[in-house]
Amino acid sequence: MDEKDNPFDMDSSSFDADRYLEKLLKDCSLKQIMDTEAAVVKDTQTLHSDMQTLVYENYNKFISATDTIRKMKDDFKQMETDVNLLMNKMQSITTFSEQITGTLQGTRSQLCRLSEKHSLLKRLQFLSTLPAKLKALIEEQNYAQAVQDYLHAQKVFAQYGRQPSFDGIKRDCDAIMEELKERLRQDFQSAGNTAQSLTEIGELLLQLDEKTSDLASEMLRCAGKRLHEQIVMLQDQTERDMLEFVDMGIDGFLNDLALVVTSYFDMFVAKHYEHERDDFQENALNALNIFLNENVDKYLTLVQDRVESDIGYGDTQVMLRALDRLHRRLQAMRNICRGLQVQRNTLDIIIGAAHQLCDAHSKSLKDHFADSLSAVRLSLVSAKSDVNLSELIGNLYVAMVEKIKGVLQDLMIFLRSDWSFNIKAENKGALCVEGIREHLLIGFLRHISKVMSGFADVSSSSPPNLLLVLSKTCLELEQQGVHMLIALVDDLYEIDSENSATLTHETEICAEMRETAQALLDSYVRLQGTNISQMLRKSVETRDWLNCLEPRSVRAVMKRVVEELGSIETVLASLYESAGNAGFRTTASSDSSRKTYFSNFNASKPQYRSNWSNYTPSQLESSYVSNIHRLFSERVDIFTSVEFSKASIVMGIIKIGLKTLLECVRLRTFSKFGLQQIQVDAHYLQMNLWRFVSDENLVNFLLDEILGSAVHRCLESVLMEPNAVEIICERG
Amino acid sequence: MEENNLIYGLELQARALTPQNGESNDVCFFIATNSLKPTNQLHLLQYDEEQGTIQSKIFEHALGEVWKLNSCPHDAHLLASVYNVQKGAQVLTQAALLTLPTNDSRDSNNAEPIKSEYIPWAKIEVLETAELGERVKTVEFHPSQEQTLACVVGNKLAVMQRAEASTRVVAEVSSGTSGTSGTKHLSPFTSGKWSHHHQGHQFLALHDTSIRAYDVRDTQHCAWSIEDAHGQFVRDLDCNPNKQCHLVTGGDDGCLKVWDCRMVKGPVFERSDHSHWVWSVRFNTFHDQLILSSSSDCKVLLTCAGSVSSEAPGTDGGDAIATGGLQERHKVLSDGLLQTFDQHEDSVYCAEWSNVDPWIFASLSYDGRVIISKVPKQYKYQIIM
Repeated sequence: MDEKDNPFDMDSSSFDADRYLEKLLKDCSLKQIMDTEAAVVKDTQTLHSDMQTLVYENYNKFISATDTIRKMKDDFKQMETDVNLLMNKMQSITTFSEQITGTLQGTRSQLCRLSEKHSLLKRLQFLSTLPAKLKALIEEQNYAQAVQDYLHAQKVFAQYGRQPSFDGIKRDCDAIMEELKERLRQDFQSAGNTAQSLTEIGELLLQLDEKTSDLASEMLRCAGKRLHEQIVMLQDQTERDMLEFVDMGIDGFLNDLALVVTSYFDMFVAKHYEHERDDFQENALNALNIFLNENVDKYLTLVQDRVESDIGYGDTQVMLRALDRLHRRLQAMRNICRGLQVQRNTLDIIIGAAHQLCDAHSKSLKDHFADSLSAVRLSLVSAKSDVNLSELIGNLYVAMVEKIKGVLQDLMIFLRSDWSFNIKAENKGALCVEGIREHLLIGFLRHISKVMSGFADVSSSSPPNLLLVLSKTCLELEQQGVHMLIALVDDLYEIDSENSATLTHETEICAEMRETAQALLDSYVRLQGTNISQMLRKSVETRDWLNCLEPRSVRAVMKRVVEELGSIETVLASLYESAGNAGFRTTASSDSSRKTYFSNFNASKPQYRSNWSNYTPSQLESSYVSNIHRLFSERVDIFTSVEFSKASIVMGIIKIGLKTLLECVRLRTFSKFGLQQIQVDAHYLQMNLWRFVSDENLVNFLLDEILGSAVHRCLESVLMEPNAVEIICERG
Repeated sequence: MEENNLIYGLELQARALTPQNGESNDVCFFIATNSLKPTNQLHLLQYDEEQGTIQSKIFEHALGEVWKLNSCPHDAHLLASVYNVQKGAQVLTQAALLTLPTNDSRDSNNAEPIKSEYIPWAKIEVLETAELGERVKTVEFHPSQEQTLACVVGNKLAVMQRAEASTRVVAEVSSGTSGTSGTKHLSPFTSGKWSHHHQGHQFLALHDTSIRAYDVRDTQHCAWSIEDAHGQFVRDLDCNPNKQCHLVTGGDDGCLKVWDCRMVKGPVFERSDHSHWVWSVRFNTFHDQLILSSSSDCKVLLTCAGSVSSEAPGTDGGDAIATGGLQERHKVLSDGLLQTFDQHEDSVYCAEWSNVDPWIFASLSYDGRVIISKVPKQYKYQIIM
């Protein structure tokens, strides 16, 4: 409901008195109506009195306003007369002023003329004294001032050159300046000037209208000469260290070069010359470029020569610091000369140095390796038999690894983060870093492997223990060293070799090392086997087996063979722990005093024929027995690779020895006692060899073959009683 | 390979095998036993390729156990054997020339009732070697002079002229040259062979680890020598029939080496595929790139030394003077081990090519097993095609 339209609100404009009354009468009680009437009457009275008060107040105000207006009217009239008076006075001032100006006019123009004349006179005086002044200035060598004065006068001459009096002065000046020019030119060309003065003279000459292009080329020529002198001077500084050398170069040569280049740039390239051809600037820039590169080239070649002669001898750090400084300087120079390119980079020198250092280190590593090898060899040859082999190996191995580590650390210097250069950022540099891995480390490891393989060659007459030492060293490298070193280099130089196609993988080197270790070990086995063979062969060949007496003892050679094997085993035991199946072996034949050998075949083991001790004489008569046994036995390879375990190595040696014995026995003819001697010997070997090997069946098989062959080669094959053999053998 | 082999067994140990050099049609080999039992035998094996069988004729070798056999290249019926004889408390090694009966006489013998199981010899001629020494090592027929024999006895080398019944000692290793062991133990010659070249004037003798070539026209004239040819004993040698100055040796170091006697510093070819001593080495007469070697590791190896053979490209064809049959150039296989034959169960002391068929060879192991094998077909075809 709209409030405004409420017809029952007395304050609203749409108040309807009739309806209000109607509503009142309808809705309210009498009492209420009477109350309402009283209220309305009261209200009406209040409103009425209010209205009267307001009207009265307004009336008062109106009367006071009328009074004020009347007063103002009077004041304005007085002011008007004052203003009129002021106007008249001003007019009289103006007329006076005009009168004064008119009288002073003439004097002022005179003054102007006088001052003009004065300056002209001054200039004339300057001109007339100019030649003398120039001379004086030149005497004082204040060339700059002289040139400035002359140039100043030049303008005047240009203006008034026609007059004869000036002409004389001009000629004098020109002559003097010509002389000055000549002198400047001489200075320009004469040696011994710093680049600074060269630049100054250049600028003066330029102001004296020297031909720009000539001057430009002349400047470069002279600067070139001067820089060349510096280079020559630097060349002689061989006794200074690298840092001083580079500092000198930077202070002298490079600063001069930078000065020449910047002034040349400012003088010829940055400015535009009207009277020169359009492409002058371009040509000048080109010439400057060539000049700059030529000189930087010369200098860097000098530095490079120096680096090449120093690397590997002096302190690498000092040199790198010097090169770093140089690199910074050149970098700065590159920034100065915008529009110019310095082709050659110090980085190349640094990379070259790195390469060279690598080579030097590689060589020193190889030398060191050769030295330590000969040291090992010497100590093996010279010392008594009780050399501690594992100590030797340890020394050789540790020395080698430490040396490599040292070298790797040493080369790290190239990658120090506080150098301003970053080798790895450039392709060549990255290759160089990889080269450290490939050529230095891998190359050296390969070298080790190759040199060591050389010892494994049959023809080389190395002491057997040397082969053993080298083999073990290779093995150690294969198992730890290679991995450790390659991980180290990858880590230090942050090379990701795992994912690289070009880098040599660790396993390749490991394989090579293992191969070498194997070859050396095989060579050792052959060598020792041959020594044993030689003893056995001599013993069989030199004896008269037909006419020997009944055996009473084991032949001395057999004891020597066993002793020899014993000492070999002792040596081996210090290097190789006995194989894992040692426990099995001891259980199989721990009873060394057993009376007869009985076949105790393990189902899983290869079966070797080994029961000659059970032969009856009738069996011995038939070669079929051995042939049938042979069918079920495995072939025995004699000259084969052995495993890296004590038992396998000794077994390899024993095999070679016993096979030799077999072949020698087959070439001889035996009497009864000869055969029995062989029987005794074989039994002795059987009693003693089992403890060296893991598979005594193989030994027994070979001994069976020997005795079997001896039986075949015997004129009267009667074997001794096993008990008797036993007794002889135990007697020793 | 299995079908390529044919096995023939002896009951006794054997160390002697030789092809029947004088025979030119059939593939024939002699073998002889090496047993102290009195009944040593000599078998003549004839290999029939079509039927794949071996026919054997058995002779008795009553003289003793046979250590070495050589057959005469000029007379198919003649062969020389070196055998042991027991004399009191001593064993002597002697040599004899044996002559086979001709076919006619054999036929007539056949007609008679068999008195023994053995075919008798036509002639047995024991060589006079007692003066030379107790240990005959080998008797070698001269390759071109029918009546000339070379005999290596102990530390002496003698040339015999059968027609004149004369014997001349050509060379002798004296104690002075053979090191420190003194007179008590002289290391004797091991074996020897005639050189195919030098007009038959050179005899190659093996001594310890060295090879020495003696000019038989002059006493004690050593033409050239290879010292320390092998790390240990040199067991056998063979001359390349088609390439002058080339010879192959095998030794106790398990190596097989081909030498050029003009360059004695080092071998021109070397392999060490054997795992024990090499007892015999042979060039194939027709294709000298093939080398057969046998060893006490129970294996026979066929090795190719193509790069140093007369068939190698770049070598002068004029080298092939000994055989006129090599007009066309054969293909050369790549160097290395071609094939291992490991059917033997014991040390193989002899392996010999057939003198008739270039693709057949025989090998003999100590247990008396003879195996006649062929060069595997793929290599054969590679060479001839």
